[in-house]
Order: sequence, then C-alpha cells, then structure tokens
Amino acid sequence: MYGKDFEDELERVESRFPPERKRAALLLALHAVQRVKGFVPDEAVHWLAQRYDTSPADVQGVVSFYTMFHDRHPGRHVIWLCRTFSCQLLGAGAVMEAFAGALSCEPLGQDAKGEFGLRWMECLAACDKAPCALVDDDMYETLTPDSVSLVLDHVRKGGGGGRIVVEGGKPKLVPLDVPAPAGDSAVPRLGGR
Amino acid sequence: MAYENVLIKGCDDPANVTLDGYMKRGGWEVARKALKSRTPEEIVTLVKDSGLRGRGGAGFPTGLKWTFLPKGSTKPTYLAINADESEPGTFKDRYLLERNPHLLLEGVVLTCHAIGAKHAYIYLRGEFPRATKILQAAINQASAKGFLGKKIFGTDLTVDVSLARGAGAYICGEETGMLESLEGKRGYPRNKPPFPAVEGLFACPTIINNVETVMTVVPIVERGIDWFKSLGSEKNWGPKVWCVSGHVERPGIAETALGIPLDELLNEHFGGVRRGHRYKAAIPGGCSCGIMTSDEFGAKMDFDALRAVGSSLGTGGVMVFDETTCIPEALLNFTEFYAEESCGQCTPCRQGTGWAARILRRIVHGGGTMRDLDEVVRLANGFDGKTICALADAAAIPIRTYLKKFPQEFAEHVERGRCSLDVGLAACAGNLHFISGGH
Repeated sequence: MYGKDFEDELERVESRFPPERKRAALLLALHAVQRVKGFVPDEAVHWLAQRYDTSPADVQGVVSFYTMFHDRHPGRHVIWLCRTFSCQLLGAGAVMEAFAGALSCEPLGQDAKGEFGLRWMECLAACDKAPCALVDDDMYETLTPDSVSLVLDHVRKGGGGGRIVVEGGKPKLVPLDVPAPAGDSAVPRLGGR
Repeated sequence: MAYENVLIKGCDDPANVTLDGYMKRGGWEVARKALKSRTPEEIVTLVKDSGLRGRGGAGFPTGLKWTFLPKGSTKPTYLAINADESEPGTFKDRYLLERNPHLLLEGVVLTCHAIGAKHAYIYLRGEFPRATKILQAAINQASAKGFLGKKIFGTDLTVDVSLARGAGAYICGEETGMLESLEGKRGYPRNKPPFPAVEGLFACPTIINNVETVMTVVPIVERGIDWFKSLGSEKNWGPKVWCVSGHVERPGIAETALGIPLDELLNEHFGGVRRGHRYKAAIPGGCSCGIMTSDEFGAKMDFDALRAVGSSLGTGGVMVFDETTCIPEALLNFTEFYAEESCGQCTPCRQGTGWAARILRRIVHGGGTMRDLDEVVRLANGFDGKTICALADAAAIPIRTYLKKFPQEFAEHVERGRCSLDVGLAACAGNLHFISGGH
C-alpha cells in the first residue's frame, strides 16, 4: 500500500517495538499514512487493522482520539495556530483572522483550492515566541496579522519555519537559529495532492 | 557565587546538537566514566540521596521512584522518557530537546544503567516534529559512535533508544496515558495501582521520567551530592530550567538554582514586566497551578514554598500577566483547554470541564449571573478528585484560585456584561469567539 517508501517506513518504525507488540507502531504508521495522503482514508484504516490484527473500529478509534489525525482532507498544508493563553495574550485571535482573510475563508476553514487548512492547536510549547504556529513540520514564531502572507508564501516555496521580525516598520521572515536536520521519515510529504 | 548553567550549557550554540559539538564541551564523558566505575546500585543511591525531584510537574523524588522496580522480575525493564510537554506555558523541554539532545541521551544511558533497562523509549509530542528530527539525528550519531546500542563504551551494557510520537493529546503527558499511546492506543490513563514501575509499558516494569529530570542525572553523577545540595534549599535542591512567557520584556529560558524568588527570577533573567506596565498576576508552573497575585511574587520558586501561597511549582513554566490582562478571560481560555483535552473516559471530567467552560463563557461574554460564580466553583469541587487521572483536579485548581483571588473582576463581568478593562490586547473582545462550542 502507498509504495515502497511507505512500507519500508512501516517496517522501520515497527522494529522499534517487540515483535509481538508491532501494533505499538500504530501512531507512527498513521503519521506515515498522512504524509502520503494528507489524511487517514478508510482504506488505510482497514489495511492497518489487518496488519495489526485488530478491528477497523479500534484503528478508527485511535484516529479520532488524536487532534493531528484527520479523517478527511484538511488542506495540503495545515496551519496549526496556538490558541493557548500566552499566544492569545499577544494576539493569536487577530492572526487567525488575518490568515482567514488572506485565504478568503472562515477562521478554522480551508481555502477554495484546498491548499491550506486553518486549525487551532493547544499550547505548542513556544510561549516565548507567541503567537506561533506549526505548519507541516515547521514552526513559525512571533506572528503578526500583517505577516501572514509571508508565511503562506514561505510554505508554498517549501517551508522550513522561521520567525517574524520587524525591520523598518515592515515584517520580515528570518530563519530559526537552530537548523533542523533532514527528515526522520523516509516517506516524502505528499499531502495527498 | 555566580550560578553556572549545567542543563542549558551550550544551548546558544547551534553546533551543540551535533555529537562533535557536544563532545567539545566534555559531553558523553560522564557516562563513559560512570559506566566503568559505578555500579547501578551506586547511581540509584546517589540520585536517591541527592533528593532530586521530578521536573515534569509532580515533583516526585526520582531516586525513590527508581527503587519501586520489583526485584528479581523476569520481564524486561523499560525506561520511558516523557517528552510530551504540553502543559500550557511550558516550553523548557522543547528547548532542551532541540538544543541539547545529547545531554538527554547521556542521561538516558546513565538511567538505564542504574535501573537495568536495555531499551528506552522517548515519547515526543506530535507537535514536536523539529525536536523529533534533531533527536533522531542525535541518536543516529551516538549509535554510530558506539555510545548507544550494544556494548556501550566497550562495556556489556546495551541501551537501545527509540522515538515514539504522539499526535496532539495533552492527556498523553499523564504517565499512564502516555504508556497507552506508546502501545499504539487511545491515550486513556490507567487506574493505579498497578503503578508503572511494577506494570507499565507492555505490562513490564517501567520507569517514566521527564526530559529535564533525566538530564539532571548527568551533572549529579558528574559533580556529586554536595554540589547538588549547594543549590536550593531543604528537599528542593538542584538546578532548574525556567521558561517564562507573557508580559515580560524578554520572554524565554533561564536556569538557576531552585528556590529563587519569583520577582528576582523575572526581574534579573527576563527583563521584568514589559515596559510601561505593572505586574498583576502570574502562574508559576503551567496553567494547572494556582494563580499568584503580584504581592505574592516574593515567594520562593520551589515545590514546598509555593504551596504557602496556594500555588505549586509545576513545570516551572511561568506565565506573567500585567494589568491589561483580563483574569476571567484567562480562566476561560484555560478551562476551554481542559474541556478540549479531557479524554472523555470519566464522566465528571468529560461533562464537568465542558459545563465549567460554558458557564465561564457566559460570565466573560455576557449573560452570566452572580449565581454562576458560585456554581462554577461548586462544579469544580464536584469533579475534583473523582476521576482516574489528575486532569480534572488540574482543571479545578485555576477555577478555585482565580475566583478566590480576583472575585471583583468576575463580579464586574457579570454586572456590566463585559470586561471593565479597556486597555491592551487582552481586553475581552471575544477575540477567540470562533472557537467551537467545546464538547
């Protein structure tokens, strides 16, 4: 299912657990499914249920428990904007509205092309860089309403994360100071599109 | 005497995430020496006698926890590192993971040696893909060098380290919820007993420690108990990493000895309250701690002293509020958090946190009554202590303490139907009005 990279990845993550406990890799497998499809389709639920000798309902129960697993396509890139209090204090609400405006959709909605989806996330543990957002695998920090188009363009060009600073009255996106190494997953992020 | 950083040492240098960068600072030498010269019992005794208390929030004595492992068990023993840092206001573990991953791995090796574990799992939040990549790269480098895997440093010790990832669930920071998630299931906390030390991951003896806790084992083994007890005070010894956010001039990370007064911590390490404003309140260790008013900021930041002001140390994630902050809105934000993150297993929590959020929403945004102020506290007292895990207890603490310490603000909201603060970003414009209706 979903090609050799995907199956190799599954075997790799399953090898972290005792052979009779392969099912422990279910969350990691679901992350791999989402890298390919952008969400967890029914076919993957059934396929994984068979692989781990359990019921589709059991697998679906795991999908529905965790915020980051989607049972329908949430948009090619999900913008997880932190809503918890340090981010709220420093304007997360206005940043959400600005993203929605830039994408011509409702807050917590999805743009017409299905390119971006907007979601709230509970505390992203970057409270000193509030407001912040997780987009794909990358953090965007100290966001402002007038910087959202910079973030969208950056993600369209491949992303990598960054922080907004204001220079000469204008927002600018600068790289994070510790670069992230290459991905830990063998599965390219296709996002279903 | 100036404090010397031991946990965030090197964190401002991007090269510190690499094996070479870490070893240039003397990294991995503590484990290399200790594995050859100290028995597991010696390390357990050392950590027990140091009085190190867990840095994940509960403050349970780490060495004592290690001694709960059953003797003579035929099952494998596991070490599970809780890197599911998700207590609002807390970002020290993410900082440490992204900037000092080898210190964690060195602590893991020492801990595995001490408790007799051959396999450690590090459970990271799903929201930490960056930390996951950095840590996996560090594991790969350390394994290639023979610092992890079989025959570490030429000894007979085997320590395999594997990463696991959550997918967005606060409850998986609760230790047994984390174990369920590590087993590939919904993160429902388990009834205790049996405690994880007896029956944890895959029904085997398991020690669960927080990231910062395991990192702290390294300097304890290196420098000894006298050094450790030169920091802090009785039963609250050692170094502590603080993460401060909200209305301070320089939000971020600092490390000091435990027991520094909150006002000193904020003024000397984080630039004090943001310019032109004054302190109003703070939570000292994540939103599950009681709120402190500004006249309580002289309290010492340790596990015991904060109890005297109706709060607790928690994770050391300090959120600072200046006079523009609406306390009822803060409470609404946090209560919505608990309602969203309640796993749903226990009715008092599943229903109670949602009801509390709805009552608070009408208090904040209009339509609340004076009776609601008593009702929400009665509700909190009703779900506190009635559930499998401590999430409901954690949700009850802010409700009780915010209403107790700032009753006037809540009453004003009810009387005026809106916020009396008309300054700052936090004025209750309902700027998060598009949050879904909860449960």
